Amino acid sequence: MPGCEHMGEVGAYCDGELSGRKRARMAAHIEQCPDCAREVERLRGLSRLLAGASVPQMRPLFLAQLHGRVAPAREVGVVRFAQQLTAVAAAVLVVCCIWLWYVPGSGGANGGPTEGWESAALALQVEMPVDVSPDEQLAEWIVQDLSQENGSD
Amino acid sequence: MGGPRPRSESERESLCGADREVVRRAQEGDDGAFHALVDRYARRLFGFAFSLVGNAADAEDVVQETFLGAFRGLASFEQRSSVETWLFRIAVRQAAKSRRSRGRRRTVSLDHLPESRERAGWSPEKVDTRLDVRAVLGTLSSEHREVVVLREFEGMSYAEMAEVLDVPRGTVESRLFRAREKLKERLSGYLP
Ligand SMILES: [Zn+2]
Repeated sequence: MPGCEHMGEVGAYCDGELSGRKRARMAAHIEQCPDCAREVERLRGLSRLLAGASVPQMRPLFLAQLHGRVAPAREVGVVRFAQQLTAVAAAVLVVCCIWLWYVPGSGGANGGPTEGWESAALALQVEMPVDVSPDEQLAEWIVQDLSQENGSD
Repeated sequence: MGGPRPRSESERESLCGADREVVRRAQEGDDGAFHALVDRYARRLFGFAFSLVGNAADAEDVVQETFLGAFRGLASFEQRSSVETWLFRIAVRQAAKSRRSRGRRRTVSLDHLPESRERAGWSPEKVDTRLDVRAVLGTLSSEHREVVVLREFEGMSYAEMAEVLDVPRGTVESRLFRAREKLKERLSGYLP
């Protein structure tokens, strides 16, 4: 690097990483040295330039999704239990509907008073696959060994 | 940046203490405590990840994987480092993983940007400064980008950066020096 031999320390000086005597010595040197004084200006200019480089804001929806996806295991367990319960309820309703449809005199095949049951069963079936992501995430945790990624702490 | 880092020492100290308390509660099974950590750090980690991987979709993945990793490692986290350092440490590794697996095709064009622009007669003055600074940041190697982002955007000390990156302090210093040399050279049109 051309110029003053102390220019390599200017970065640490600007970052506040020189302590005590070293810092005072560098400050005094910069007063006298045009090379280092210019380097201080350039590094400060670079910091200003970088500070002005914008990053897009995180989507608010992502934060909400994040809370759902990184939910503690206990909550994931509750969600899974609810999903299983929903599935069992839906299956029972479907069986009941089929039974009502085929059993003579039950009225199902004739469009009798079982419409509510049918729509409920359908609604439940539609709701079932919603929000399976916590399970997928849980599976990912189990499959993926992140132990190394988590550092040595 | 979303959710800038508190600059004053006392502000950081109190936040650090609050973090420790939140982590302790989360370790004891308080579900809400981990969500408090997500609220506190998600925006900053997103900005950080975006600066490393260069696009919002991958940055979101990095943030998500960081919290999943943190949650998995929560029980074994002994708070020898700060919560902030711990989360950024995970995020750096997740970003590296993201770049390796998915980011490659996206960042290749970015990595070759200055050369192609120079060949096309690109002059810095003609391009929007902010976009240009982002693009030039993208031309740095991962190691150089990491130190610049941690120092300039996150305001971390050399010691904190060394901890996050798991390298000696001297390595941080030399990487930062070389990264700044490259940035000064590539952004010379904007500098005094
Ligand atoms: Zn000098």
